[in-house]
Amino acid sequence: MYTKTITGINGLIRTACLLCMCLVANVSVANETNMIVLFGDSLTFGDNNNFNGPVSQGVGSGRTGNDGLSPPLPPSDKLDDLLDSEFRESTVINWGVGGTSTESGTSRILSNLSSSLNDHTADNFYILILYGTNDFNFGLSPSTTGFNIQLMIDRARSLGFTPIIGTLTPRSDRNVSDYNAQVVANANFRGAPVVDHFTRFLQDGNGGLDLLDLEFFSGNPIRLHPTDEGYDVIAQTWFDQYLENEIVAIPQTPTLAPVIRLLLDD
Amino acid sequence: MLKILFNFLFYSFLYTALLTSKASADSKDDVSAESVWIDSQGQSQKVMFAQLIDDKWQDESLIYETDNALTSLALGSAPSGEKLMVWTEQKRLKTELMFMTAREVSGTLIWTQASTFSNKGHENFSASIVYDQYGTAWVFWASTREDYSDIVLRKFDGSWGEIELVHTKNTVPDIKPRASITESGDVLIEWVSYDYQVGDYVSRFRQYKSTISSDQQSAKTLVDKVLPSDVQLPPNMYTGAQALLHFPNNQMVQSVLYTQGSFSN
Repeated sequence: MYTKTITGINGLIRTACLLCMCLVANVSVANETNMIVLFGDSLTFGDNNNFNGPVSQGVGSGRTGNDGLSPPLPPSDKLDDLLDSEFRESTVINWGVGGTSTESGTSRILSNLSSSLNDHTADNFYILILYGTNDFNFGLSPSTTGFNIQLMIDRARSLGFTPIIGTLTPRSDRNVSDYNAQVVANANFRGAPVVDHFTRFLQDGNGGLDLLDLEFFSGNPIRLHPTDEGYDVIAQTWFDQYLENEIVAIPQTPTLAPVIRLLLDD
Repeated sequence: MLKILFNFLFYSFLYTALLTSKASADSKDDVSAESVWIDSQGQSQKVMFAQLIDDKWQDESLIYETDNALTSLALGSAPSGEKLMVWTEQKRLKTELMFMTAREVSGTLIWTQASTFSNKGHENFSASIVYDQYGTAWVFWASTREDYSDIVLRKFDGSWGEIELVHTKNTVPDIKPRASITESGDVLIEWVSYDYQVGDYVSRFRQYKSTISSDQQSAKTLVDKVLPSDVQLPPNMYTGAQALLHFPNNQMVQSVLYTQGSFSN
């Protein structure tokens, strides 16, 4: 029968081994740092009914809400909090620019990422691209969106980033399925992982519309931007479907107190 | 039989009247600008039309409504005053180009019913219209039949011509055509195309000789009566929307797109 009693020389050897294992564990896992860039339009920037003001790009939020309302945290801040709570060492950067198309994304991705590389250091670099919901309004076809997604993947890789592509969230004024089909096909063609926000929103019921804020443009209602909860879901989906398996949690310094207490008890 | 015919004519007239914009009775020369834009209300998408007369935007009118998503409005005016509007409509499996025409009857602009302009391929976007001084309409747009879109042209000079490719076939997106008339009367089409050698999107253009001889053209002087940057947008337009400003009396820059605070022709 096994007992936890540690006695004599055998006990001392076992204790020494235990302490060594703890020390070895602390030095054998490198504490790698990660840069995670969120790249896209207002869905990345973090617009909704509570907030549509300016925010410094390439950094965290530092924002105030409309009419004294509490502003939503942008998905980058939510993701940062989530990663912190999971002990995943990361710097999360927001390069969302509201009202832009994927064509704009292709033209600014290199300069934006270069700027972040100059400002921050890291061991691993990821870019989470969620882009294309405005393309229809700009007269850009789904196939053009897909082509631009490929360009952004290539350009991100040229700077050492691992690109991860998100599907577009639903919107009330039109179907985005044809755009998502191209987003997925072109990400697959370039071998980039896809995180499926669209399906995740649908799983919430009501066609995903409950996670979208009711906004009014010239008196006309539209659900396009996620609610605060919707942005939580976007951040969580990035984490669940990709980051959780890619970014290693920092091993926490093992506390020796229980071991010592065990020895003292004995 | 006569009664059936009468009913048909009566209801046809009634339906057309419903699509009639409340354009003023002013002649076309008094209209310095016109604007079309899309108003979304729930699932319903509306095409709105307004005219700028004596520096004052008249009340906008609804000229088309559908549950399908709309984008890429284009508007042109023939020298005779007839109008052609083309737009992109998201159908179930593809995006089609639709069109309506209008003409002035007793000072009122009468719009026809919407019809399909092109459903070739599976994507039809970003139409741009110019009329040359001889009344031929040139409609350009980005059409996808295989992998990526190409710029195509369809002309109307009394009857609609076949759809023709503007550039040599390639394997990159050709997008955002914008048409205008040069000082010499030629039709200039500019668009954006991806260039693998440059590694970026680049501007392309092609110039078409007008439909009559250059001797006749040289006798005419083309003028633009309105400077696009001098015109403000209609006040009731959704500020985030893409609108088209059209200048029916301009011969060269006939339309500009207004998107997110900036104009582009």
